[in-house]
Amino acid sequence: MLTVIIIMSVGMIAGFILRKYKKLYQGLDKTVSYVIYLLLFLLGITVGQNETIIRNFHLIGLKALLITVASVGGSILLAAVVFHFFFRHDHIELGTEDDVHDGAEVSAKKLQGEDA
Amino acid sequence: MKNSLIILAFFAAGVLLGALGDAGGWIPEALGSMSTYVLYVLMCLVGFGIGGDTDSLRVLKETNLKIVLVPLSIVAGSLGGAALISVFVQGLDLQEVLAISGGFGYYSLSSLFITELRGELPGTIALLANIMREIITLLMTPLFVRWAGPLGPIASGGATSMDTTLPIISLYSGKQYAVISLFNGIVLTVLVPFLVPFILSF
Repeated sequence: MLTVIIIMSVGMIAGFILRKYKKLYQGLDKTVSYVIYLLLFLLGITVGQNETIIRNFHLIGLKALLITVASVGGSILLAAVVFHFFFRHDHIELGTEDDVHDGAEVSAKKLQGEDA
Repeated sequence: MKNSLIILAFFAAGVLLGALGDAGGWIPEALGSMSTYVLYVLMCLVGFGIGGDTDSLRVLKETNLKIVLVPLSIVAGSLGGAALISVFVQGLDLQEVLAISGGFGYYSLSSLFITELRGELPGTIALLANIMREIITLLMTPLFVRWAGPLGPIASGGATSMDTTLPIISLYSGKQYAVISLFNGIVLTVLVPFLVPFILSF
């Protein structure tokens, strides 16, 4: 965990120093996507290799899924409420300026449309 | 949605290869540690993007105190949701369900604590549940942003919102939210080793 934070901080400092060179950031989102695909593939292999998880998945997996869905659902619900009352204004302001990924752009536009 | 499907396809291919390859014995040992290094590369790239993005620093200045509301709402929402469904989970009591939920995706540590305090079955369920939390976030972030706004995947990611799920959150919620995501992940990660034993101590 600590290593990850240190590595990211180094990246952040490098990014901050080089922020004037816009060309460096053009392909960054795409590269991040590809690395995520690779990471998910590797995570899949680890899960597939774990015999305990695979063999008992239907039994304990169902309970785990139920707890996870309830936790995720509850936290997303409250986070949506917090966003609605405290963060919405900032989002609209910044959403128009930032060249974000199409998924976020769509939602930003949708939010603007609904709340304008 | 298209991106979620691509991610799901990569993950499913990995599971298949892992299950088949493990039986055949042709998966190199180094693969497990390799993903750690891939994560490092990813985090460096993400950091580079955040550092070069002047908007994110401005957001942290503008958001100031209300940023604390993000981890607070996630703790309350997770535990509340888990408490509601605990009656349907056979074989686990309320405390165990809450402790599993209180891992916030930090599966290695929370499952270890729960195994030690309550035995292997709740420990294994904790491991699975918290891995699922990470996987669900990775797969469904585009949908969560559409349903609940940019804080949606941060809530879903929980403690993982500072590392493994940060790249995809930054991609779909926008880079301005990467700082909030990081802050949230750090707070929840620090909280887990205190909260899980605390829940089980009653």
